[in-house]
Amino acid sequence: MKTKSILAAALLMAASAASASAETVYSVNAVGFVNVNCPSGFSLICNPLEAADNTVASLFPSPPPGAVVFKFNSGTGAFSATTFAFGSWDNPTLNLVPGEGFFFKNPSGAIYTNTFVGNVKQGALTTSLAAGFSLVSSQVPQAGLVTTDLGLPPVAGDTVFQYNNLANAYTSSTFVFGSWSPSEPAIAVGEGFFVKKATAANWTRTFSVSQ
Amino acid sequence: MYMKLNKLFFGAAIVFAAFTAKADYQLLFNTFNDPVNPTNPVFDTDGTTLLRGVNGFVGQLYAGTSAGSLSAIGNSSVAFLNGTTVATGGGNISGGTATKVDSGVTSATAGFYQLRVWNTANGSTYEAASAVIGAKIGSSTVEAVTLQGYANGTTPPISFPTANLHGSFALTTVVVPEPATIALGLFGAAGLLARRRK
Repeated sequence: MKTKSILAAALLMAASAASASAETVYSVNAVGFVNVNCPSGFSLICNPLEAADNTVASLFPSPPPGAVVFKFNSGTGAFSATTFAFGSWDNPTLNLVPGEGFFFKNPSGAIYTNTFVGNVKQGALTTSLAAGFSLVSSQVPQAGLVTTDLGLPPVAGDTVFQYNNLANAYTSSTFVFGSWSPSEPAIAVGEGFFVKKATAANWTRTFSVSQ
Repeated sequence: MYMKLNKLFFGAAIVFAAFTAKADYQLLFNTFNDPVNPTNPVFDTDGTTLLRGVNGFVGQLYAGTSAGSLSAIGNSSVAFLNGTTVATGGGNISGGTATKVDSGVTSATAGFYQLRVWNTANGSTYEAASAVIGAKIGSSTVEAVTLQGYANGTTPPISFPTANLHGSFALTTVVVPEPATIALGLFGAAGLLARRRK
C-alpha cells in the first residue's frame, strides 16, 4: 500500500523506544486527534482513535444540552441511547470503541465539533459483521473506498448504507456481479455506516502507520 | 388440487412470517421537553414538589398503535432524576430507549404513548401500585406519535420519537369511596328518579 491517506486531521507522531537485552526494539505509536463535525440533527459517526477511556462521558465531555448518542445492537436490531442533559450523561459508561458506528443527535441549531484524541489502532484489526444490519466504521482514521482502501470484504448481496444528514436519509450501494453498484462507497474519517449481510463475517485488516 | 392449495397457503404463510418477523419500535424515554429548562415536570401530590428518584419515584412508558391499547414497553421502570429544580432534572426522566415488540408496526406507523408514574414503595408496577390505598400514582395525557418500526429490515432505522410531548402533571393518591359516600349517591339517584316519575 503506498500512500494510505491516513489523515487524522493533524496527526502527531510519537515514537517511543525501549531496549530489550542487547538489541533495541522500537515501538511506534501514532497519537493524534480528529475533529468530527456534527451538524444539527442526526449524524452517523464513529470514534476514530483508541482513547485511554472510550466511554461516552470521556469522548464527549461537553456536548450541547440534549445531545443523544444512539448505539445499535445488531443482535436485537434496536438502539440503546444515552442523553446529555442537566450537565451529565444518563449512561456515562457507554463504550464507543473504534470500529463501531453510532448516531449522534445534535439538538442545537449549530454545528457541533467533537475532538477525538487517542492512538491510531495498529496490527490485525477485526470488526465483526453480523447477519442482518451492523453499524460499523473503519478502526483507523482513514478515508477511502470501503473495499479498495479500507478492506471490507464484500460478498454478493452485501449492502452499505451511508447516512446523509442533510437529506435525513440513506444512500446505499450493493455488491452485485463482482462490484459495488451504483458505486463503491467512499467513507470519510469519523464516519459510521451500516453494513447489511446475509451471513455473518469478519472484516479483518492488518494496519500499520508505516505502511 | 387440494394438496396444491395447501402448499400454496403454507408457502404464503412462510413468506408472511418472514416479512413480519422481528418488527419492533422504540421510543426515546426522555420526558423533558427542553434539556435546559423543561416546562413539563411531574410533581408530587402537593403540586409543587418535584419527583425525585431518591424518593422512590419511577416512571414507565406505555404505548400502542391505538390510544385504547396501551401496554408497558421497555424492560422495566426508570427512576426519576434527582435534581431538586427543573433545571437540574427534577421531575423528569432520562431513561435511554424503551422498546416494544409489535409485529404490526412498520416504519412511520401512527401510535400513542403515555407516561405512568408511581412510587416503588407501593409496588414494582404501575398496576400494583394502583391497587394500594394511599399510593401516589399519576399518568400523563395520551400523546400521538409516529412510531418507527424495523419490520422487514429493508433499510436501517434512523430515529424514533421522544416521549416528551405531554404536559406537566401531579400525582394523586389512590382512594376508595367510602360506603357512606356510595349510599348517599344511591339515595340521591333514587330521589331524582322518584321526582321525575311524579
